[in-house]
Amino acid sequence: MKKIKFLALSALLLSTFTFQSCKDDDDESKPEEVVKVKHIFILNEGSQSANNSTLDCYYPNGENSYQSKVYTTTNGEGLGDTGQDIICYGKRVYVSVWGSNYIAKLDQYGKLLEKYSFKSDEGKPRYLAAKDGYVYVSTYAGKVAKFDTTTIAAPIAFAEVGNNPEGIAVAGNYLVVCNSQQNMVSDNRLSIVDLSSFSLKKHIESEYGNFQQVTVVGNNVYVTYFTPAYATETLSVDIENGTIKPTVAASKIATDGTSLYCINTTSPDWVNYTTSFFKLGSTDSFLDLTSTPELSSAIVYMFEIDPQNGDFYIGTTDYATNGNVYRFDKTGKFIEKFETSGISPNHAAFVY
Amino acid sequence: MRILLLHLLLAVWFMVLCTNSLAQNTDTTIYRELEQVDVVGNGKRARSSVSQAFGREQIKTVPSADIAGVLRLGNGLNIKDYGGVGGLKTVSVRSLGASHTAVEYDGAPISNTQAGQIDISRFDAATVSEIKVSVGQDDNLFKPAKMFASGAVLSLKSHNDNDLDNLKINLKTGSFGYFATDLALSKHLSKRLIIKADGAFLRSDGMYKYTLKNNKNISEQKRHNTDIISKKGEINLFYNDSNLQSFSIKLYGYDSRRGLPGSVIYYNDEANERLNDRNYFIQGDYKRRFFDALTTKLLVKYNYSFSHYTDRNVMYTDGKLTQNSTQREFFASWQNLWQIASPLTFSFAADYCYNMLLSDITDRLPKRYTVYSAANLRYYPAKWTTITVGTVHTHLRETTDVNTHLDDLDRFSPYIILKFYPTNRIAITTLYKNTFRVPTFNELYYTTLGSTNLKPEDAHEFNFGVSYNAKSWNVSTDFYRNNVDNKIVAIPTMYIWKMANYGRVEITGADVSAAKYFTFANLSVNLSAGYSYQKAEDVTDKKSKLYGFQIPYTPLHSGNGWVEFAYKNYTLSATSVWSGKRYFLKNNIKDNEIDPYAEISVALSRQFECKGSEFFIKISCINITNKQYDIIKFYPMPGRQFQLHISYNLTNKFYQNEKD
Repeated sequence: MKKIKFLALSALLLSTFTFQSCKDDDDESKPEEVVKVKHIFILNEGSQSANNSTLDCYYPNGENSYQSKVYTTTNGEGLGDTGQDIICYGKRVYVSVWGSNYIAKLDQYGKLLEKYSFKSDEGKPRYLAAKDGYVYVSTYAGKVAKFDTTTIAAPIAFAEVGNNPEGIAVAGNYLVVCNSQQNMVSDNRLSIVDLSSFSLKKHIESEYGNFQQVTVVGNNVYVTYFTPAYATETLSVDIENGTIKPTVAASKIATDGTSLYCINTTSPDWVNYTTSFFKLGSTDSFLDLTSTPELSSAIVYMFEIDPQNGDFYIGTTDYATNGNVYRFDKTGKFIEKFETSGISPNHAAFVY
Repeated sequence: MRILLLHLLLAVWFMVLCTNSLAQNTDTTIYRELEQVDVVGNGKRARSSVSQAFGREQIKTVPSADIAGVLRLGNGLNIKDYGGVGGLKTVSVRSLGASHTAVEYDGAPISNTQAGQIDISRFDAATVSEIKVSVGQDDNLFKPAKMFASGAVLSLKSHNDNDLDNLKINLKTGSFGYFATDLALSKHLSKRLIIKADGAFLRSDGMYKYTLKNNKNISEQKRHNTDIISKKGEINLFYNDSNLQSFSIKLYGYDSRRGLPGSVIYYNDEANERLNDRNYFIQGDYKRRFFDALTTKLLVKYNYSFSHYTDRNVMYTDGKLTQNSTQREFFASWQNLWQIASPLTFSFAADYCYNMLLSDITDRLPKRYTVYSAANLRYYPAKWTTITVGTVHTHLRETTDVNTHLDDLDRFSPYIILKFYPTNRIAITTLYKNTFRVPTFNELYYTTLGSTNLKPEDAHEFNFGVSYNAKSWNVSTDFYRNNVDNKIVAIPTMYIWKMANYGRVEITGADVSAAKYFTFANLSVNLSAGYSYQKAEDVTDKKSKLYGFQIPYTPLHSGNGWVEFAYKNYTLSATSVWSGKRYFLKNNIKDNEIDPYAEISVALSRQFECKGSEFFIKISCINITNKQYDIIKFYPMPGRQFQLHISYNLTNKFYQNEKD
């Protein structure tokens, strides 16, 4: 009963996050409150064509010290070039590596279990989502690949979507797919994939294009897109009616399951940056930056929220040196800051 | 300002014309001036890095078959080599960056306004008679104004003026499907008119093995998509009227098709990029002496280049990305050298240059009009010193089909060179030069990446050098300081890269080289070695974590060694180049290090005559220890490779009978 309740809750809540959270089935007998995130994988993108993407492991409860390059030390080889996305689903961690053109299934400690390298007509992998025992990957072939989590030795199906899809997220029985651009021409469609038939249900046409990320909060779907001048704005999407309307300027969005949190990094010259942190519908900062004033002029590259306790994890980049991750609790109080093992931390996976 | 300068130059010109009384016995000086070249014969190879040259004899016996390989034996140079025959090769002098190196081929500039840097891989060492790299410019004041406007100059000379009638065939073959041949014919059409024709063909598969080290996982891999086929043809006409006047015309054509292997990416070896290049130019010059003291030269060049780049990947529309670029250049230069009085030489030159680009990489249609005016004065007040001062003025106007383009530019680039000779064995060179490089068409107009707000990138060069020349040995040391400011770099934005003037680099360096020559019975031995120290610090932003860090691809320590044994007709040549660790990214951490390396190559050559023909055979082993290394990270260099070079020269003596 507990399990069913939990799964129902998961379906409602967890699937709405941009990341997916791991639930260890061993925890089913324990009371729900005790289920805590054990550790967090931080994916460092690295710099392009430098094969320097790395995976780190952070223990929020302090059971262990920060583990740099945990993938490399565990597997004896590097992650490769441009780690793009990471999620935790079931007991497993899934990573997509864009430059090196594969997705990998890891165990909870970062050990490589299985790998799939995409064929040239299948496109290079971008972003991940998961539901009901399947992992979905957008690829730069206008496709979303579907993998059965029992083995990712080969994709079981592909759905055709728009051009060079980026972020994907599960919304009910749909997969919302952000189409970006091709040969510098923006794709103005959001693709909606029906998960039961795993085929394109429809395209939502809009005056916007070059979509990037999608976050689902309850029944609300938010997507970010690049303006022609490469500023990032957030839009809200009504899937049923096929309408898209502008919401707020934000470069990173994330949810704790009830609200949409936004971070907006802008720059007039790409040398000096200004970053603001606000909740949708408010202009107040959701973070107390008194002890980390540097964040207001940092480039925020990663924005994740712990699905269990609402802690904020904010990763910054300068595209040259190792990134920093700042952790705040759900009230916005600064907890700690740590340096990652690579350039540009971009995503985190919460393992519990 | 420009008008004023031009008027001044014109005034001087007329003044010269009206003062033939000044024309005195200055022949020797003026021709010393014209032909003052630092190439030294076998036996004296310590080169001041201010100006270093490789003559035909050295190029011939050195193991490496390409110019980049020869230049790696130079001092203070940073040769970027992406590996393989078709891999991009560029020359940066003293860490200024390759875009600060102007390239000149047979007296006329070779330019690439789109990309800025010149790929020297297309020039075959077998058909080049002299390679010279100078900081600032070389001692020759008689050249296009544009050649005074850069931080460094690489000069290539295809032919030797002393060449007589001959027929020459070069055949080269070696590892990785390498085959190159060229046929050169030189013939007197009349006593004063010579025609030289040259045709070359080259192919290579590349596909060399390399060792891939991915942490603990070490594997043998092979490069692929590395094939290249290129064809080159040249026709030259020379007319020389016993030092009074001369003219030459050159027709040049080049065509290449190659694969670009790209950087090594772990777990993904797909490489589909292709590049086809075509380049044609015609250049002509006319030189005349007026009175004894004045020489003037007109040079005209028209250059057409076309490149066709494709990449195949399902991420592109219809699975393919195509970029065609056409560049046209018209260049005219008027050069004058005037021996005012025996200790005083004046030169000035005015160039007009038109460049345009039509390319898929941009929806703009940029056209650039540049007028360079250079004035130089060299003064020999006494035997122990020479003072050279000069400046070049750059007047640049750019247009595009829309109203955004590079800002108008009017700037002077001054320099001063003081040379002292306290004894006739010691030479002291001090130099200051201030130059800049103009943003390239790519930097300005490339879709989304380019920015029309760019300013030129500035360079200041200071040099202090001492050399000592004894009879059988010599040493040379140069200390230098370069500042590069307003560096044009691509900076990442949230999604795309954008060009900007952001960055300052301070370079402090020292180059030391020494050479020794001796004979032992019939054996003559040449030894030379060079060492370079380069501290090239990123001083862009004091608050940055990167402040004071060594810039990428710049070793703190590097060097070379060269040994040559000549016995009768045999020459054994061994070269080594080595480099300390470098960083391939800005952050100076262990992860970003490129391992130090030393590459050793040897060549045995023999020259002999047979029935009036001259034969030259060289067997080379390049990278004899099979050292696995990268110059550019993830662009592995080839391991051990063998090459055979046979040259057949139907000599002058035989041929000359037909003359007159």
